Amino acid sequence: MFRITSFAALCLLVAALSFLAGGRSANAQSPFPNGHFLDVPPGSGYPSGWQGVIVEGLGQINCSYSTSSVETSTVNFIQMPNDTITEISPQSVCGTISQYETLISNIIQYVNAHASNAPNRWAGIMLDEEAGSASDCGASGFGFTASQLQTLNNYAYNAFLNTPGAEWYFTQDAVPSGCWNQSIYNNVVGSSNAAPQIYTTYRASLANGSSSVTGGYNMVTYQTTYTTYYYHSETAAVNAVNGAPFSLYGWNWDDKFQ
Amino acid sequence: MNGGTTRLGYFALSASLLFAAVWIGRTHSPMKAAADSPAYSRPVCNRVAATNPAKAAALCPAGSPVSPLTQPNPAPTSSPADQCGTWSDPTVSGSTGAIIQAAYGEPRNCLKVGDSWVITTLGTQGKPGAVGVYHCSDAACLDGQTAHGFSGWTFVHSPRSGGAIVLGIDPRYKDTLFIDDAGSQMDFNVDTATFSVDGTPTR
Repeated sequence: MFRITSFAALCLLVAALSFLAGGRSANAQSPFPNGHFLDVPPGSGYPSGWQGVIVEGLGQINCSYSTSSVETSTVNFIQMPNDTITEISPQSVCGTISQYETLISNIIQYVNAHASNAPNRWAGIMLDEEAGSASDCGASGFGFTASQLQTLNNYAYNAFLNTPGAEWYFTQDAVPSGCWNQSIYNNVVGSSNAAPQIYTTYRASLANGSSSVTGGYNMVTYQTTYTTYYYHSETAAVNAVNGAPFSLYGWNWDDKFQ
Repeated sequence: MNGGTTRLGYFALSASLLFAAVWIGRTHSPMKAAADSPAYSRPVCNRVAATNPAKAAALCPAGSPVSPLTQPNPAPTSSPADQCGTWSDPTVSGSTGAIIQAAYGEPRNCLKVGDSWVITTLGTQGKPGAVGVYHCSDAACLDGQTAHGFSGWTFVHSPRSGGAIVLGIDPRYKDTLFIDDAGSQMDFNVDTATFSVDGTPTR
């Protein structure tokens, strides 16, 4: 009898705790990503052992790299074929928001005109967006305010709305500790495929608080050699984020910046 | 072993089953899903579906209509020797990283470039970010797990007073980094610890 009572009490305790937790799981994406993008400069060969590649386009317009080199590299990877994303790091000295809008349109047009595999292998354009430093959250970082980035992202939404396949825009946002509250972050991420840079607990908390816009889906961007912070491995970064990984082409993705 | 204990056992067992049933109902009920869940689990796809249903279906496919190109495998990892060790962690009291954070702001990047270690920071209130360089002359120094004391670093402030954020290593010159400084894409020569305008790295 004692055993029955103890067992029942244990069941009650477990069930009650599960109920009170509301069915929420602890931090850590589930399932763990099984597809991995790697950032590479234009002109690189395909990196062995990776499922996808991100062409790191930098600022372009008035800065490196040339848009033609980024476009050519993107098309080459897609046609191999490989799952491919094209990355831009919008910076205010390299170009204006209007110029970056034009750049997005031009890249979409070029890739779809020159890569027949694009509808099935090009996931679109990743916008690497950085909030300001601790001394200036408004217009330091890459030089654009959150409002300007929101404008650019809204443009990308409409530019991709009628493109073929799963082509879409990603926001690879990085926020220094203390910059951008949750509301600003959610507004900037908006309807993008979120690919947050998870290097600190602050960034992880923003990603975890964005489910109203992401649905709880994030493609975790992590570093291994670059970070001095807590999340200096794929496992640490992925385990700091709730929900599920971004899913496409049969993979659950994360992304390594190098 | 008496009647009271038995009743308590049955009560606890019944209560636990009730809790389990309610919990399962909350999280797995198809009726609930139909009543208050959107057609897609990602908000973007519901928004897109309003104007372009086909696009929404491609963005949020139910299943895997496009076959994976390769087999799944763990992401390749870096050698610990190529990574900045705990000495660079600003959350460790007294570490080089903590001292750097106090002096130059939140560390943003730490990496090995050629025969040197580089740390960039985002600045503090009223102070610009900076790039720190630690030149090595032996194999032990090039092991990222070896501690690199603060006194051995040379720091250069960002010329435009923004945070210093590494964008990448210039594939043409392995000693040159692309660094953003307040919206300006700069070159940074690690060997000479100098900034220059993008596209014109100092040699």
